[in-house]
Amino acid sequence: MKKDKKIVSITVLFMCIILTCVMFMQFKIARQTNLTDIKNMNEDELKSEILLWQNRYNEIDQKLTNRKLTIAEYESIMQNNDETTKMLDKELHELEKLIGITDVEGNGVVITLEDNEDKGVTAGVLLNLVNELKYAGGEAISINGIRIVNMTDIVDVNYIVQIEGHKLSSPYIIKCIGEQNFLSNTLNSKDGYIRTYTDSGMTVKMETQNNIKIDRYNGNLDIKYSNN
Amino acid sequence: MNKKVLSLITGMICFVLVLAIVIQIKTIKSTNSIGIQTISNDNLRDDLLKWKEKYDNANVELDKAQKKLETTRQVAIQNKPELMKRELELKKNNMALGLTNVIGEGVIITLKDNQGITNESIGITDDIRSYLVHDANLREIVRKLKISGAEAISINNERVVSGTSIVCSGNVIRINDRKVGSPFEIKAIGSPELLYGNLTETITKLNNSGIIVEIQKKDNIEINKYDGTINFNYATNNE
Repeated sequence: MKKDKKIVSITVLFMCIILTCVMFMQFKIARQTNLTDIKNMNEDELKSEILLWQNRYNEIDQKLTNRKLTIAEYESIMQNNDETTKMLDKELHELEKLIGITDVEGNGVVITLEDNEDKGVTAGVLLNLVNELKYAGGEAISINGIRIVNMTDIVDVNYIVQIEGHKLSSPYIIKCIGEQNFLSNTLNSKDGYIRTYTDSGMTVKMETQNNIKIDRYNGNLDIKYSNN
Repeated sequence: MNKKVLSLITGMICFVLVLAIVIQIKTIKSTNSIGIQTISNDNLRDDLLKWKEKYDNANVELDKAQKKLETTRQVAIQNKPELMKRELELKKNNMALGLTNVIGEGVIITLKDNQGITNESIGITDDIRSYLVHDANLREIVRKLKISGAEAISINNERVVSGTSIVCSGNVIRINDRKVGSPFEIKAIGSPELLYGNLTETITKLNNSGIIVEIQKKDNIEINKYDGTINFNYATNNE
């Protein structure tokens, strides 16, 4: 009788030990699979990421081709003073366009924001819009005629929105040149900009327009603290 | 009597063990399904890596081409003061666009999620999300830096250029369409006094809201150039 009991308890103990071991092994496995980044992306994420990098590659490849062409052109006109001047001007002009110091024209969207009794447009509202437009690939943006460049600041001063010292007032008209469908779909999406601010009581209107003209940036772009 | 107690205990132990086994089988099942997915997505993953590699190679090539272009240009404008002025302008514009590495004095700001906080350790009315860094926090800091006259800004080495957006997609923040995560290091070149002084209020506010933010003035901050292309496909010059 006593012997039996001993055997039973020893067997139980033994089983317990084995099971505990198995448990620990399995916990480890579960933890290992919890990795981040590429390893853990699902199919959709991977697909959109691939698309993103494809686009990025195509753009940089295009740029590379252009640059090689420019080099070839410089080499072919090496001794010609006038041609070199033209070439430099061409390069300069391209950069000026990208910075925002030339007038540009193109298709895009125009958004109108208006103050109403319970809700006024603040700098934050405009900044969020600019952020969304950039996310949607907006190339040139202006607010009430003032061009928005990289370091443009938009601030509230005593409840008045100011951009680089210019005071603005309602209605706020934001022009943006870029891919029309992408711009309007991004702003119109569920939980998108227009929905969010309309729900909070603001008047937001958007329409697509062709041949929008956006003026150049008039401020100064002096660099004092940065060196190459 | 003794036997009864013993068998009861044994029974209970068995029950608990069976429960544990069932739970684990379930977790294993779910991890297994990830495993299967992993295999079927391997091709996509390879594709992604391939495109990234292609991009990186093209980027290196572009750097080389840029250097060559600069030397070719130098040769072309030799001893012609009028042309040299234009070349200087070109360089300045490239710098303004964020297409060059720059160095200068300024501030470095770090933002961290508050790791010590769990759902249990905060009050019922408190929200754990306020202890994490959000895209809006980063936008606020970038905005303040721009107001204070920053000339170059980068967040975790993503240069802030004219087309840069800071958005939240799912539970990650994307800058220039690339994922960035906590801790965030924001570098800004500009007047250290102006930047530091104007940012203090914002940073105190963020610290009080739960996340961990620090700012320090520094000399010789290096900010890398924008890793990508700036292109207009829809806007054309109008003159």
